[in-house]
Amino acid sequence: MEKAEASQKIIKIGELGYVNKNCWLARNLGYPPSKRCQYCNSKFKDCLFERYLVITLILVSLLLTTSYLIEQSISKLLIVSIFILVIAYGYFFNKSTEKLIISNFEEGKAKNALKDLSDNLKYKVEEQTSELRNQKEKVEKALAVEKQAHELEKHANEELKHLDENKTDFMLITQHHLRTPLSVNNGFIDLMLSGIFGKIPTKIKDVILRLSESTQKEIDVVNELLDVSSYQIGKDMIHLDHSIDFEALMNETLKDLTAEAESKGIYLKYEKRGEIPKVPADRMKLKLVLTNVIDNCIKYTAKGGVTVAMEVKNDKLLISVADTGIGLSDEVIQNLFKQSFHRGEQAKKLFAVGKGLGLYLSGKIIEGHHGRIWAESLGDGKGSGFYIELPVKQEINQSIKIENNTNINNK
Amino acid sequence: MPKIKTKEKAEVKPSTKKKYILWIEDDFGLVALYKTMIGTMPGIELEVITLGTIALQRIKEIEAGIAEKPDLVMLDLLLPDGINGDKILETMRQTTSTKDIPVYILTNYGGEEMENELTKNLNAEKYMIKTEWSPSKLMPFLREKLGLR
Repeated sequence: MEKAEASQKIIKIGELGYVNKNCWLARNLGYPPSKRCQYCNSKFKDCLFERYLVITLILVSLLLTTSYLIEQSISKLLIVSIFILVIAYGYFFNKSTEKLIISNFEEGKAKNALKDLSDNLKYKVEEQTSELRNQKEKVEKALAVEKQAHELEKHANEELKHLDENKTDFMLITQHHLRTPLSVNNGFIDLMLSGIFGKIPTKIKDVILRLSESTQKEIDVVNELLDVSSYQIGKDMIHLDHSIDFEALMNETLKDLTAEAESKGIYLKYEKRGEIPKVPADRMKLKLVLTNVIDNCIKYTAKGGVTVAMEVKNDKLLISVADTGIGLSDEVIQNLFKQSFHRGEQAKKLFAVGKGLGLYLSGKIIEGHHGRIWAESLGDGKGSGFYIELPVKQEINQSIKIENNTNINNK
Repeated sequence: MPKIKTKEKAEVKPSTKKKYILWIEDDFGLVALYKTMIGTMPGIELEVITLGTIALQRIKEIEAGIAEKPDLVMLDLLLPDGINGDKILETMRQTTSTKDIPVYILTNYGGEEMENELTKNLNAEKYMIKTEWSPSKLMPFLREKLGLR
């Protein structure tokens, strides 16, 4: 609206009654006084020049009439002189009027142009201000929405973290409570078997041995339960340390497992093949893997024993654990490290407890080390081999979250 | 059954010839187990404390010189009065006369963060899980740590 009005003002000139230069020409072409000037839109009768001409003509007519009536030569000369003066006056008056008209027109035009420019500028400023105001409002709204979203996200993350911590705490407390009575049972059974209460009759000793075995199995299950649940929660991370002495780690692990092998009457030996450099790894997690794998072999070996070997090949540390146990079928080998509750068919026949979890966890941990874990078998009844391959060189000071996309509840 | 020698009250000071273990443990089944176990180990005097508040009080008494300084402390983590093992260890480490006493954490609480905090920051000697440390493993370990044959 405002814009249209402003542009009209530009055209609307000569509003003071002056005619512009173009109108002078227009008038010479004989426009009737009632018509409007095509340039200034004012009526021609309002034109000062026209008024002046009319006045001049009236004056001339009056003088001619007067001179005719007097009819004297001096008077004629006087009248002609006056007439010439009047014409000259009219001419100069006209010239000065024209100048005035033009100057007034230019001034008016400049004033109008300035006013229009100012109006235009004002309008544009107002328009842009309002646009800016709208944009500012939009930005403010967007910022408010973003802030709200950010707060929601932050809150959700805090909730998740809190939930995660609660779950872990819950699991740790549950495990503590499950372990405590088991420690009492296991402890007293251990004391009884050590003979501090005197010699135990064979029949009772057999019963105590069964109690001991089942207690130990339950301890294993409770231990694994927490391991798996904490991995399922996703809290556990791999914390690489660059200076892991695998020989010391292996000796420590084997020392812990020797008693179990001895109690089954099988051997557990270690073969060192060449120099073993220090390898980047998460010591605690790797010990869990070694314990799980070796313990698994001991569990499923009734005769013979388990041989552990370590060597470095092509910048990779290769740990092999070979047993003389029941062996594994191809199908079992493929799924061994994939599903948390998977156990070989043969193993099921032996009713062994709980070991499905350990290998699943081991797989996840080795994956987190950018390594490889796999099993091989010579066929049923010919023993199995477990292999762990770890890169000797790898970027340290990094924490790798263990990917966890296997839902243990599926199986 | 051998006679179990335990020390139930603070004012009865154990013989200086014997090694003195202060065992902080709240579960009665385990208290009975450890008392029975230590009872079979000559040369060791055992005192059991079942509450965190009593343990903190004992630290003050040791500092004041009215209670004997143990040769070794076995420390459980979760205690019924909410004054847990970590708080006890922290107080011990801040107290002049108890800061150098070897402390072994014997718990069924298996948090990795807690283990790091206690062994690395509060200088616990070892973090041990009770189910893994049955008497046949614990007895030779304690003898070794106390310098007994």
